[in-house]
Amino acid sequence: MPRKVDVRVDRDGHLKAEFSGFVGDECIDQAERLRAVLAGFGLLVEPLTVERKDPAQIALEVGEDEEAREAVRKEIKGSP
Amino acid sequence: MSVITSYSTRIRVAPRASRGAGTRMDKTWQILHEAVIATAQQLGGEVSSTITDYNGQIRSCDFAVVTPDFPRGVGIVVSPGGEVRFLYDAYGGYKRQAQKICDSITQSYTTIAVTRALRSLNYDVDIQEQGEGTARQVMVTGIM
Repeated sequence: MPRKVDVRVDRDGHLKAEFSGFVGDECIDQAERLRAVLAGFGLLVEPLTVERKDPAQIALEVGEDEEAREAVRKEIKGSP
Repeated sequence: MSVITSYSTRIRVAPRASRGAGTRMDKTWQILHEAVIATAQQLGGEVSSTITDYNGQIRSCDFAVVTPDFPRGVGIVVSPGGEVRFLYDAYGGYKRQAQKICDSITQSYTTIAVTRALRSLNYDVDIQEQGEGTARQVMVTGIM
């Protein structure tokens, strides 16, 4: 599943960005990176609302297997 | 996890002292210039460096867009620190026409900045326009 960012630019410059196909907190990191890069291009953006997708939507995007793998990765990282 | 986030935006270009010119123009000023050109093309107007007020007085600006709908034009004035302001005289019922130009410049700048930002993060980028006039939206899609 590719990682995808859909950005809608409204007439007044407001943005709505949808991050799809990211695993775990990657999308939050990616949103922050995008925000930082945009500032370098002269566009200062401030989040107004953040909607987290529900588990069913995420499973459709990344696939159940990928989510399971991520859970195992976290378990391995957290183990002594 | 995946999220949907909405953002307010503000344009702030590089300080006037580092504007540069020609091929050495600062990237934020370059985007502003491109947004002005795109707006003039979209609205059937011309790029200028002056606007006219109700009394016919001419004011100099960093950039300006003059359209058939609003021949007085909308100017862009950048403060020494890089704050971008629109300048126009809408006296006589031209507020809507002036706002249309301001919105188009803002939307074009935002679209160009988002496109370049996604490309710099190694996304393949596609741009689609939807609707017209005040309902015009631009969808920028990045895939990695």
